[in-house]
Amino acid sequence: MSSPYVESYAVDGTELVSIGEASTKIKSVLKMLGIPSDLIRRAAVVAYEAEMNLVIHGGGGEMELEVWPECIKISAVDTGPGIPDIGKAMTEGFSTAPEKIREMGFGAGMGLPNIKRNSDGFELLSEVGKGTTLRSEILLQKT
Amino acid sequence: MPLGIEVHHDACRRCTKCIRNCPTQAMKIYQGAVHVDTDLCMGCGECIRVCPWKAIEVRQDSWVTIRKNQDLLLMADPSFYVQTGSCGRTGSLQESLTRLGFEDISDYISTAFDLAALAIARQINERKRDDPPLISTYCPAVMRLIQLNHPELIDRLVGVESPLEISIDYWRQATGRTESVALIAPCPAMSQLQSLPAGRPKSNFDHVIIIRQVIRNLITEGATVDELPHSLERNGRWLTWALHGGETRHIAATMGRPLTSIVATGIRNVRDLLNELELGRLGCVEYLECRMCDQGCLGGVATSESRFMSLVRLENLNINWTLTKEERERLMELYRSDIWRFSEPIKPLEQKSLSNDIQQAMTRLKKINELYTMLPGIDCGSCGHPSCRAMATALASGEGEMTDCIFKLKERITDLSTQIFELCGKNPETPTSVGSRGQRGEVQG
Repeated sequence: MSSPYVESYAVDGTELVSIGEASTKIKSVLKMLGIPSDLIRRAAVVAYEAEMNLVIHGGGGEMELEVWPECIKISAVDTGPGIPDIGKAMTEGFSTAPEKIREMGFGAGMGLPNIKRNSDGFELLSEVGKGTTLRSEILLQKT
Repeated sequence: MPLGIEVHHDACRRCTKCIRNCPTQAMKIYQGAVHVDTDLCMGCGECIRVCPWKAIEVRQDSWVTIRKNQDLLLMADPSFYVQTGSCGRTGSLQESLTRLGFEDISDYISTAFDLAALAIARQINERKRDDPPLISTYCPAVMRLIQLNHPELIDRLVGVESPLEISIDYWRQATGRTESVALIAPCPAMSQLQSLPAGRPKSNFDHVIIIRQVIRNLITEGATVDELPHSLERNGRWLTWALHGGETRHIAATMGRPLTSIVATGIRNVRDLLNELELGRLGCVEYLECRMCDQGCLGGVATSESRFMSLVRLENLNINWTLTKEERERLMELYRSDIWRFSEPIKPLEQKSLSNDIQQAMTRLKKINELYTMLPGIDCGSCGHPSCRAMATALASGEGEMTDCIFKLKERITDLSTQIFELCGKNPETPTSVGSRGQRGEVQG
């Protein structure tokens, strides 16, 4: 069985300015691996929104990219406050982002639904007070 | 080599400034000479700006050839006209060219820019409310960057050709003439309009000459370039395209309503903006006006005047933004003739992946990462590659050696000299020279 290509990225929770660094790296790795551009676009959206959530809600954390010959897996893990009601968090437009962040144009409550829409597999695990783990999977089409 | 730039190898000192500053890492030094990857060069001119030896230039034809060719039509980029003059007035560059025998077609150019603004305005109005913004196709370097790095944004490029090309199409259509045309260009990217046309099989321009060259020659030939009364200002709408925000203003004036547009100039801003667009963050914006040079085309690397002075001149021009009824009717007629459309789709320029087989690409990438961690990571360029990563990538495909890196070379020399030193300390049982016998005697004694 083949082994995946793995890269992980630490996301700083105090820097709003550097948002997008991890997702930009993920995008360039996928490009080098010759992943079709429509799949790269989906993976970039997933990575960017997940990165954003880490910064806005999770207080930083770690992202990991795994590339398998069959699929791309992106995960984001934080040890932040956790999500009390996952069902509500998945509703479009629902947001708990602070006012300051919304003023910057972020936190419109579209992040999680956007991730789910662009994933073939999606998992969100959270425990209040402990943290949140998000896993997304995008299948590489067989030609 | 259909590039917008040309390297003069005799002037080049291989100082590595260009390869380290190239935004697309299109340059490297190989076997003692600078090489440019034709596929990656977008013609931004950054290498020309940073070269201390003036070893890189915009590729162009010679003034002598252009001057001699009596049948040639000379057409200038709008930024050409604001190179001389005073605050709020353009100089008499067109008159100077006319006096040399070059035909003035500025009425056609002016109409072509009005037409482009109209066609863009229509496409913006047809855009669905939730669609991402449309992107200007005016800066050829931005177009190439999108074709190279953002193939998924190609469908956001507005479907209207560069008004520079439209100008000549329209002039040919209206006059039935077929002379060859030379473009006076402000930068290597505009020079690439001619050598690397996008969206049409062949450019209208047969020759290119840069702004600086033309103005220098006009002055040495004794032409007055600073007289003030100027005919271009009457319809100066098209001149504003040389300035950041000028295209947006022209389109908004055509629409008769404010346009929600973002104007980004300079490589860094353009790249950031395109990245944001790709991540779907610019929902409510209608149009993106991107220019690779600071402040727009008047900041082009091949202009002659200070971009700050050109800016003052252009910002204070007294421009008439209102079209007459006849002008509007004429434009609508031209609009219906579809002369402004691209005749071919804009194609992505696929960047090579590491391998066509994903498994192999993954193995290769792991190898690159491994090699990269062994390199110093300071991107000094001494090995001839633009970055340590580029060096690792080359090594992984068997090009070059680890000791091409001066730090690795030093390590290797240290290792070898330690080994030599150790070897020197080993004493052979049979003395081989008088000197060593003597030393040995002393040690033993």
